[in-house]
Amino acid sequence: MNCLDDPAASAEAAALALAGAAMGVASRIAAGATLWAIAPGFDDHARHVAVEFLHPVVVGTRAVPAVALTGTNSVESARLALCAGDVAILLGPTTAELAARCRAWGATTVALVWNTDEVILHADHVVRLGDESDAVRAYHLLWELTQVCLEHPDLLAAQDFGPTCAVCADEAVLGEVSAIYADEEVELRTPCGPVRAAALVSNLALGDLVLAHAGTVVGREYVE
Amino acid sequence: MNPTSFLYPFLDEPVAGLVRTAAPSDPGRAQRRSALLADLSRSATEKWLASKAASTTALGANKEGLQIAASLLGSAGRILIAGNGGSSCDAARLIRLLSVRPDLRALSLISDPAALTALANDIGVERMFARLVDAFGRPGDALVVLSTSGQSPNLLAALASARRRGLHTIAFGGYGGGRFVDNRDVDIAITVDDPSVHRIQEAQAALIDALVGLLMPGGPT
Repeated sequence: MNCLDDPAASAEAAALALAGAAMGVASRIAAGATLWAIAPGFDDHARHVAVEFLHPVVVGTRAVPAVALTGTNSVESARLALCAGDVAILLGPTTAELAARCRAWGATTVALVWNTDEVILHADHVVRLGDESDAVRAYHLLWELTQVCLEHPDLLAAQDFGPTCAVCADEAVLGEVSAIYADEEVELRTPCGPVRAAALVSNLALGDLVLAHAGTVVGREYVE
Repeated sequence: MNPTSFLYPFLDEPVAGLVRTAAPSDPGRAQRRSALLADLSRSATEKWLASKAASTTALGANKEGLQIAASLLGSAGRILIAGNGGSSCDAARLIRLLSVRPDLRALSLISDPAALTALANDIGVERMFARLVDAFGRPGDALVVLSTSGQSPNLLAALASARRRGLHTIAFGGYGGGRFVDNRDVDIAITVDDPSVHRIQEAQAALIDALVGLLMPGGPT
């Protein structure tokens, strides 16, 4: 039996994922993040998540700057809106590409997903739900758990956006092509800011997701 | 600490992408953090199961009301919906789920910020939905409102307008239904009895699912 078919097991699985997600979200909120809710095809859920955080129903809990990004152009509106260090709550069956872009933009992502086999490689936290009817329950709990985490500032992850850069870090980072120059050079939007890189990959276009290593675009990142 | 730590101190730091998490200086911190996560996880499991149980209870308690509501909506000229905050989202969700029935007509009273802010600014929040019901409501239409408290003044005013104009009215209310119960402006009150706003809303989402199920071609899914 799939664990999502067993009520107790699916509750535990969701709860475990939500607890980790809440810690991640609270860490970013404590550091000043704006929270963005995006649910392609399910704008009602995006709005619900945002209003939950912006205007809490429980008196005395922390109000968080939170906005729903609605409409059909999720990628374009998110690209314009998100800053490094922000939080994106992604909901629905199609979150993988947004999660990858959010990583390139330096945002922490929580994907609350249902009715999907997508591999959501780039979300920081993935919460798999049996179906859409669990969505409200899941984000209410995410809000409640995040509020508890905010009451323990000493236990939140300290975020350090120090001078580390994609040019010298010994690791390939995800980037999004934000400008194309002559001589096969491109500018990338990466988690540590804009990076100018030489492209070993041909025919790059604006918005392409790539892997950058040591100041060089070494490959494309394909997302489902 | 491994022997190379003095050369490569960053090796001991957990790295996610390029975002480094500072090494904790407090040795008990990791344990307290794990304990908190375990507490959160346990508490969330309990709440999840309690929420599921509350939904089941609400579905049982409203079985007859949902059937009447479904028959009202199925034969309504047009379905108007309203709610405040998260409830407005749940109301919008009802319209989205009903869109698979091409023979139904529905209109959201909460989708236009220009209309809502104009009304809120000029005549006040309490009258804004009533004014929209006055503008759009026709005899034989149905107004569906959602409220966790069951006593939002602007929804009570909208229900009164709907009643005057000959609309059917269906009101989802928490806290036992609040002021939607025994209200002459409400045809069907769909109630949830729970002390938590969130558990009420989750049960209301399940009630909406059940209502939509009753309205699906071929009956409940």
